[in-house]
Amino acid sequence: MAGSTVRVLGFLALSCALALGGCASLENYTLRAAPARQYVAAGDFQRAAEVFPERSARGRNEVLIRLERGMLLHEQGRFKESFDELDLAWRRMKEYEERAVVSVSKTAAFAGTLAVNEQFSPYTGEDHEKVMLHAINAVNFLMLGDLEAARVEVLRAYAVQRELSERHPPQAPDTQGGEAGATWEDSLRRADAEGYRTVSAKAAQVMSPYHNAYASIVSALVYELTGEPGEAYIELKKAYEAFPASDYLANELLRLSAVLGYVEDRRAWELRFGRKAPPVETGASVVVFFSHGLGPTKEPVTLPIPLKNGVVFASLPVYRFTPSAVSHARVSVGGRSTVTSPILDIDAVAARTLMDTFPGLFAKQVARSFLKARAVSGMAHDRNGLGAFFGTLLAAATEQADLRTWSTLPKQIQASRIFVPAGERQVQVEAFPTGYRAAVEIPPGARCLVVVCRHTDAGLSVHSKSY
Amino acid sequence: MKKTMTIAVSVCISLLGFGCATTPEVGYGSPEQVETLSLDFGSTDLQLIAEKMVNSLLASPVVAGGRRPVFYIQTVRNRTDEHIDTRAVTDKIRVTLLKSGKVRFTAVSDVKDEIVNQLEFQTSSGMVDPATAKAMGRLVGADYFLYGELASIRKSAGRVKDVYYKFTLNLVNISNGLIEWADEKEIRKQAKKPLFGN
Repeated sequence: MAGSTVRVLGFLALSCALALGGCASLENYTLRAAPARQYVAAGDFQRAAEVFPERSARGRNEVLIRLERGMLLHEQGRFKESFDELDLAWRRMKEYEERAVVSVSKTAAFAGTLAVNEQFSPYTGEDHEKVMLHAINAVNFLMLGDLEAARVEVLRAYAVQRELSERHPPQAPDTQGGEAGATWEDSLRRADAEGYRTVSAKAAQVMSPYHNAYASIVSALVYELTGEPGEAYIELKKAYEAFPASDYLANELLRLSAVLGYVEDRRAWELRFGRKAPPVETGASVVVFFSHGLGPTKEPVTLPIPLKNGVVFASLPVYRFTPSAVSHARVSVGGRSTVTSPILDIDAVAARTLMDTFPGLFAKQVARSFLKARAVSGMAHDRNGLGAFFGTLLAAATEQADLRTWSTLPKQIQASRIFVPAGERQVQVEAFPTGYRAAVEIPPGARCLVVVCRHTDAGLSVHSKSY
Repeated sequence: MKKTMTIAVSVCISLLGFGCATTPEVGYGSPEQVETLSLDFGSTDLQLIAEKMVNSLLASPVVAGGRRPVFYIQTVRNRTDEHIDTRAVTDKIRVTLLKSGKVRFTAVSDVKDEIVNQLEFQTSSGMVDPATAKAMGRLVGADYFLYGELASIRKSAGRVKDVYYKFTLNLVNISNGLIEWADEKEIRKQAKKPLFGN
């Protein structure tokens, strides 16, 4: 009788948890964000933002909705509003982090994730998203002409990266999952061989998900504009460690080591890149940040998890990547031209973050599946067919992979810098292979023009700010 | 069994019904009251900095002679990782110094355009009585230039978070470029994440 009561109470608790969690814990976020992604692809950022109205930035998904809104406002050139949204997301993330080690809300969320699914817990942001938030905010302030505030965001981006690097040891975490000794990698490979191959191949391209080259490059630009070229050089070196294949970084390291008179460093870079540092230029320059495509979305994959008494099936998220036909952009001014080169691959960073967190997710899923299997078996034993039916139905209905992810980020960010010949007043950006073009005026007296450009099916969305 | 179920259902309904019903309490507090709501730069830090800097500056030989020198103040530079309204810090220092009666400030740093517009209006618009119009070229030049910056270092280890603020203020003699006075104020704050809580 006592065992029966416990099982009934267990399911009652599950039902209550569902009631408290509402539909949010059963929502398929990929489906929810799909219309917004379509609008982004079509270049309609305003309608994309309407998919995430302010009133929906409440409860467990507040951080995520604010991240989406912040990105879409940024793309519309509403930089102050974008900062406000992203800053609110950051403050909420901080609140979650600063909660007591053993707190009622944390315990309730943990119990909910064990009883229902991962979406029962509040979205606190993936590690790479926490860095991106500050990088985008730094660009927001760059575009507003507020270098002091941009510098604040640069310092925050650095602090987050340092904290994440310290928190996560460099070695791969233990991958042992199921009771029968199966690894999460085995289970994932068996369930979705192609998905596993693609995600692990992408993840392998990233040195560290906690070191974001885009954030470091934006930081370097802010430091150069605030008259701190030494700090800028350090940031460029950090960016190079994170993304060594970038031509933009090679050019910048050669240029700045020459500007600073770091002869030994300059020679070392020349040796490494196989070319001489260009002569130091003193004229105005144009820095272009060119982004294209859409970052990955999550889809559920059903994994068999072997237990002592058989196998249970669990739903876990994997990334699906959205292809982009765009390769690069050419930036031309006067008779000069250069091409943008990648500085950040969001697909790869997200994949690496997922691979790093997958063992933890898998272990939790094993515990959840085991509890649900025990509860269903108990209901079947106590209440015969009807109990088994409702138990199985409830367990299946609540088994939902956590598909939440910042879905409006671009697929890739590229950058280039070009020095403007004297007297030239217009810079052209042309995307390849689509051929979309945009022209940006260089105001008289500008020493640096920052151009933020996103490629969409409707053309290039361009914003600029001169210094 | 039936009793247990009834109790469990009642608890769940109570939770659903009353879980979120809270209204914030609002009241007035003293501006001097020590504020330790978070590690971030707050009103108490601003007051500590202003008090220390003003006392130090007023005790310096530059001000002690009773000459009432004229200062020009630049908004304090923010080199921390917080969005701090350093204008408020600057204003606090200026107002406290002015209240001492020992120094004067030129408003040129804040409202130069407004002053120029007003002088042009008074002298050139033809709408102001020439007897009361202020003449061009009579603004008082500053003797000293006051500038400063606020920096911070933030560290965390385990449950403890530590932030160190350093505020530096410098006074430059405009006629010869010498730094005649400088001082700094350091503030260290620590927070420990509680073991148990909401």
